Amino acid sequence: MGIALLAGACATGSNSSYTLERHLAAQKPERALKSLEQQSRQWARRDQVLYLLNKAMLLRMQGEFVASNEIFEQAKQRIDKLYGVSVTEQIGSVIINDLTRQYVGEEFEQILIHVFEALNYLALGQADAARVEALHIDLKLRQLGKRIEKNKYTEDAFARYLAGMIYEGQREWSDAMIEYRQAYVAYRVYKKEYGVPVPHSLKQDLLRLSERVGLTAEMERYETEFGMERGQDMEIRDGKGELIFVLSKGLAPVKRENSIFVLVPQTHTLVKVSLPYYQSRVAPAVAARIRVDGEVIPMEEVEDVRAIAIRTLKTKLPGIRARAIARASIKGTVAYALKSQDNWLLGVLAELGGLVTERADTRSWITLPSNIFLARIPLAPGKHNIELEMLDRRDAVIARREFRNVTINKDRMTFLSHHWIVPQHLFFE
Amino acid sequence: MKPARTPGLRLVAVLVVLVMAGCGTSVQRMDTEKVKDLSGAWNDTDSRLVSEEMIEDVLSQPWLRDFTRKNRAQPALIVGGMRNLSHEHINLNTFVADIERAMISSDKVQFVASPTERGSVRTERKDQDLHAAEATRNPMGQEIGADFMLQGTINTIVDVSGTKQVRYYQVDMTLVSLADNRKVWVGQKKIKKLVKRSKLRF
Repeated sequence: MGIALLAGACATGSNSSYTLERHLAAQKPERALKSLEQQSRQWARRDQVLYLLNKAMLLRMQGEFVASNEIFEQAKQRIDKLYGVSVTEQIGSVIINDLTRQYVGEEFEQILIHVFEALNYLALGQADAARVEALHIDLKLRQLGKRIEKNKYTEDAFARYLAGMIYEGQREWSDAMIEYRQAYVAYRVYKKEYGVPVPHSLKQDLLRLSERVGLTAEMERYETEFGMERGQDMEIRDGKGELIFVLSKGLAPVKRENSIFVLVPQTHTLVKVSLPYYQSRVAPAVAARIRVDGEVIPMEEVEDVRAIAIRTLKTKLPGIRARAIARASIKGTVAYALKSQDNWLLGVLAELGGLVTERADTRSWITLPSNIFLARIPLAPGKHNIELEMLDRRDAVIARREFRNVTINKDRMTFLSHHWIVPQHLFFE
Repeated sequence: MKPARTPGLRLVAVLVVLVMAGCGTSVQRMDTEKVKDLSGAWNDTDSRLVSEEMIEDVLSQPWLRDFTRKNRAQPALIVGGMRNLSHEHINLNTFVADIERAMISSDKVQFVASPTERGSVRTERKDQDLHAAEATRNPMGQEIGADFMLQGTINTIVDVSGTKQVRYYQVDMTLVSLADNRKVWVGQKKIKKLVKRSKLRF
């Protein structure tokens, strides 16, 4: 088993991320999915969850919502099975490297599984199934909230906002109000931590829903806080349906490895310390807007996955660093001990083995978007042609996508999704 | 030395065979009535327990006697839809099918096809209208209208703390009269489970 761990610890799935990125940047998710499946045997059992998450997202990009959800469910079941601390994994991570641990996803990745599964169900028109995911979001976030630590990810504003919209769609006004409130609190934190402001549409939703539920005092408080009047929101929406467009932009950042070699002076042994870091890719500033019925509605950023990922790594880095140092000292001590006991060759082999196996854990769910944008548009019932436009810094249109004959029903929400990958030529390194 | 080595080797061979036998997939057929709870999620046992109790309850209530006495015929029921308001993706179709089958075989009520089912039936009937021989065709417009609609919801309350989870399921079903909108029967079944996860694993 030790040899298996060693061999497994060397291979990692992050090499395949290059091919995936290439295919996605060329706007060809089918090719990315094929290459992922071809490499599936190379993905060690420890990375099974990652393989499933990437597969589910690629299926979603192709519009295969049912298949995508099946894979998401498999991923969830596997993560569930991996609950708890594994004795062998702990040992492995201290004597070999962090890659011996099964990947269960960061906290924000686990919440986003439910978010994207819910979006899949909403695209299929299965509002009740989406509601199940909304309940899960609440359960999971409450559990995360119990671990009160500074700066750690304990609330997901967009997940709460989406859950609120799901409840509002089911006419469960009180539950929707509760979720919108929590989203509002979370967005105030988002503004400080990630620079994502409270979406204008959420402010409108809070005003509208507090009026609907009869919380007039709260509504007036929001009016003063937002500097907004209740407005004609309810009247405008009367007799209409709603289009909710969720735009996933780009890809989540990729982790790379940073290594340093240290020659311990007293023992003359060479050890290596490898730490992960997020590669900074300056994506072009892109805005998005929706064109429908002769009107132009700008989209708002509702989630900065990239910023959350970077912050998560930053808070976990002390622990990663401590483990790396502990590992280096253990490996160095073993090599030194062997060398000084007339087992010079074995000592050198142990030293080399220690160097070769020292790898940083660069695993992450790379097919997640880097940002999520949203627009809520009340529309008259019937068929509409929707146009999505991506704009650059100078408001020039760099990409366009058309959605024809989208049906809007009275008093119902229609969810549309699109995942736009920034083409290579627009990147500056 | 040599004779002492072979027994050791045999032992190793036996152990290897035993270990290999443990690897690979094994399939064991089970009795459908047997209870086996694996993950704590809603399973076939829950579906069976709820449907059995609901059927027993619905067929023994006065609404059935009143209807049969008044109309001298069995009531016709239609399944209006079960809503899953729980926190699990529960397949309600097996559950509803269980109830339909048990109620039809009790010979006290009749069921008519639900909106999803009768689409294909109507297409076949229309086809018969055009193509089947006069003596054998089933004309359109002869469907029996349902007298009652069966609806239901399944709700859950979950309480989580660390490795322990208490899941409470409540299945509510109602029978609504299509003639005058009265709720003639309300059934309820509660199930509570304690699920413990291990903090350590291999």
